[in-house]
Amino acid sequence: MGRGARRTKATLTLTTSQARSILPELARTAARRAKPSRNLLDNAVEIQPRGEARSAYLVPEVDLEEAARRIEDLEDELEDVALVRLLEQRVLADDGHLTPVDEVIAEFGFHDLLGDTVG
Amino acid sequence: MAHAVFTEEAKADVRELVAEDEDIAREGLEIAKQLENDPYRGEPLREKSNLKPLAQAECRKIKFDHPNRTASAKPRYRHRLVYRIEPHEGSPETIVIMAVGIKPRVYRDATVAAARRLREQARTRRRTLD
Repeated sequence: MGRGARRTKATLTLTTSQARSILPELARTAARRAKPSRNLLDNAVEIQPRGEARSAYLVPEVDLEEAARRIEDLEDELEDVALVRLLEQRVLADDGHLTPVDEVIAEFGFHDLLGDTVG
Repeated sequence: MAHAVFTEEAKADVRELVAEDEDIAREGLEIAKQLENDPYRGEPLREKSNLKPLAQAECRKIKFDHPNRTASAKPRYRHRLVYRIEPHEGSPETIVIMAVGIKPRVYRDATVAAARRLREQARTRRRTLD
């Protein structure tokens, strides 16, 4: 799932009849892939039902997992970018006043979090 | 032991959180308190590319949620506590807690303010040109 030219179509396209006749073999081949491909569609098989504008894909589990992991990474990265922007804005508006955690805890009434230090 | 402190904005975040859900606020404050003994608990803000501007911010985040939220819930953790170790990462004397909030709010606040600034800049430029 690395960078580079993005494939937009599977390398193999089958009709439903063709897919039906070799489905066990297709599924076995996909299931046995141990290493994710660079692109979600590299090892996918497109199955095109007759008369339908859109098709279905048979994708190895390992590639799906890699795609999900990549999405999670990107979401995390996007979140961190947003956080840095937020912090930047906060630093600009910051008056420099800091309150110790114990005071904040006490102010909001969670005294039990302070153990024996505050009643 | 390091000392944890809240900025005014982070304190305002806690106030909002308390109003929304006391249990989640308590969880956030408990984590903040624990950071005094475990300052590296949070994961550094990061990015996958080779450029490291986010790492340069030297901030860390901790994901958290209601203690009773199930492990299979999506998303598992909806809240973030963001802090910075001062004077620097290698010497944890003070933990400055800079934000405590819900993830969507983080996006909203950051993008709304950035968009406003861009609009103001454009307006200023137009006035200068006029």
